[in-house]
Amino acid sequence: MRRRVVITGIGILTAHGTGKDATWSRIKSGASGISDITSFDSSKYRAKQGGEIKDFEEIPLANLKDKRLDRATRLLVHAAREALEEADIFHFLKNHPVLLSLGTTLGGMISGELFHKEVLALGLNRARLSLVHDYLAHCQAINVFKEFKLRGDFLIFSNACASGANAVGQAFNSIRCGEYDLAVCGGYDTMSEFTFAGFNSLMAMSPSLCRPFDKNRDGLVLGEGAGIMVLEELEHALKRNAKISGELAGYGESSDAYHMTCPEPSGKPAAAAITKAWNEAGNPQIDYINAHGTATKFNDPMETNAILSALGERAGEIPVSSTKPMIGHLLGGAGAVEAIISLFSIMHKTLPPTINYETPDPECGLNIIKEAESYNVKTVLSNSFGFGGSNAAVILKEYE
Amino acid sequence: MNRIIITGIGLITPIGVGKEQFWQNVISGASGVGKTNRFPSLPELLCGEISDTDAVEDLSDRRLRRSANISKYAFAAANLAINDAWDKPADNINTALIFGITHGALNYTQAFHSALLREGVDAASPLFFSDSVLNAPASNTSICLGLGGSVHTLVDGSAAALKAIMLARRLLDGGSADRVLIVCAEELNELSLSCYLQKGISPLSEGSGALLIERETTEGSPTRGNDNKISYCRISGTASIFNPSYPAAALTDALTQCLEKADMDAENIDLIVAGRDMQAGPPFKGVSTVSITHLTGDAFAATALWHVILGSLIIKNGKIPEAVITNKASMPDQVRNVLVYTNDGQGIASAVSLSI
Repeated sequence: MRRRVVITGIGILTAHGTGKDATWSRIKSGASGISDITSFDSSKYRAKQGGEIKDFEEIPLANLKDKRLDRATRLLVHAAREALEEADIFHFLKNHPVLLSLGTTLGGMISGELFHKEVLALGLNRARLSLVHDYLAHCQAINVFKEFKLRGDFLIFSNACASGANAVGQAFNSIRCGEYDLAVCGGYDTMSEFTFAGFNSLMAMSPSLCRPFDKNRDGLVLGEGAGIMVLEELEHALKRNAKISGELAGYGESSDAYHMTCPEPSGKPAAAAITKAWNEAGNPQIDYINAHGTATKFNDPMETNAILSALGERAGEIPVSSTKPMIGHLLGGAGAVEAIISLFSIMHKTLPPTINYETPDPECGLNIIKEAESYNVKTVLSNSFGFGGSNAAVILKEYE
Repeated sequence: MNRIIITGIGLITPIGVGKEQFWQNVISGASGVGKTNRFPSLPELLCGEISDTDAVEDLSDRRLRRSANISKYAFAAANLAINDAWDKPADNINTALIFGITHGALNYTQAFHSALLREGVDAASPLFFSDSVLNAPASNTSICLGLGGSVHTLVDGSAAALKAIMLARRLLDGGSADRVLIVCAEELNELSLSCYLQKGISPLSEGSGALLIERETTEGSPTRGNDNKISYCRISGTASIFNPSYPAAALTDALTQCLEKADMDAENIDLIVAGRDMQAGPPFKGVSTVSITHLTGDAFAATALWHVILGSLIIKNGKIPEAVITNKASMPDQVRNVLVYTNDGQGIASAVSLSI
């Protein structure tokens, strides 16, 4: 019999604020965390807004030296602390190995940008090396280990926008197969001009509002943040009387093998990931789908095809929403943060809304939820699809 | 746990393209490290460059003609590994790809950002951006090969290569893939060269390596059956540890765990493959060590995978090349078990054991 995996700690940090209560309260009310970009001059771009974290009050670090840390480390450590504290696991971690499984697309890109600016302004030998200390995408995980004095191992997945879901899914697999009893997993990314300019060059960002599944959608909006979960093998969690928030029941992944920036339009490869996750969870009734829903021209119909193909006749009736218009697309953090929002929908028995959705698109024939609704949500599917064709699906359910 | 075997090998290295050229140069001790003026902003420096770019282009795919070098290296090595393992194209739906990477496509990252800063928003090329993301080499490879299984890019230092092997094993054990390509690649870049030079780390290098691994049947052949090709060796154990509080303990723990998983003791190890100045510790005092780094330069995760490939070729060919021996202790009559490890000195240590 396969080991069951439960969630015993949650940490989240988005444009909707710090912590799970603030985040859920604003998600449920359909508030928008999208506003004018302040971390760099966005006036020259087609899109000018994003989901930045503007009221981030950092808790003093215990073991890391403050000066050389990238914003990515700061966001990640903050969310990790919240999750570890909720799981009440610090004493356990002193004597037991833990897997830290994280997804990111950028790592410490803001530090890399600063370094490169200095290189161009001052020359190679005069740019400060300390700026790249926290640039590489595995440095932030190293910092988490150092801050919380962990031991064990880490895996850093950089699979574009599916990274966070992949990190959660592979942490789930590592517990399921008995490699670990406990894993800390999730994803993170920051708002960087490099990425903003990149998506601008691809004409992928909306100059107006992010409207997933809407006929008039014209692109995504970027965000930043981190989402972290503590996963435990069920017996392990029960033995230490941990508070269980929910269960991770299934995970599936696949690849399009199609195009670097365009998803495979039939949605068949994405459907394969959903089917794997659904089968692994024992084909439960899906009560809600937290869609990848980027609001790009190509993602939303592809995702519609994938959902309709994977979940059969009832698929068109299942409530679907995308929370990206509220907090932005968190890239490597998206899959993890959205898995957490999916869990909130189970815990609070509420369907999160798709704000800005007005005009149905016949190519996106799903049951899109416009406003938050009370609903007996027991099982949720959370989708993530990334650049280069990475597909991931996570199924969360109420713990019984 | 299934028995996992290596059935295909591919290499793009400063000492040769393909396993035959690589092995010949390992035997002869030919160095691929030389002075280069390729980077005008840097002084002349020592690097391990890929000199046979024609061979890389010949192995490449038309769709990659405008891609970063790292993607070309990655695809070329993967292509070689697949052709090494299979006589005819196989169904790639259940083939996974795990990519280990340290820096990624730094040249395109730099080009995109330079254009943005110097020439403005409209000069920033979408091609440079899409190929600058860390998963671009893996995605390009999966697209060109039509791989529909799991595709992951793992980021780390040298350990990324051995962690990729660990994750690949998990996919095979869990039945979510029938075969897994493990690929690592790096490209030289002036910014990273400058940083590492200032830190005293040199010579660096570029290139790629690829392994194809599969489950073994009870008859000792790959599970795809009906194929007369034989495997290089088994991957008998894997382990990875991070312990920043006690870095010295990390390597000991990784080696111990790896041997436990392989159901072996330190006495069973005939040869160690590791970075040049690494010491595995007292249990392995009498075991000879080999390394490729002085011939190729350091390409981080790619070098770690070259070390796994070197260990596989030594087992397969039954010969320890003199030119790569960095610590000569007892020389076994037959190399049956090889331990490959990485250790960054900061607490990240990974190990893979290879067995006949």
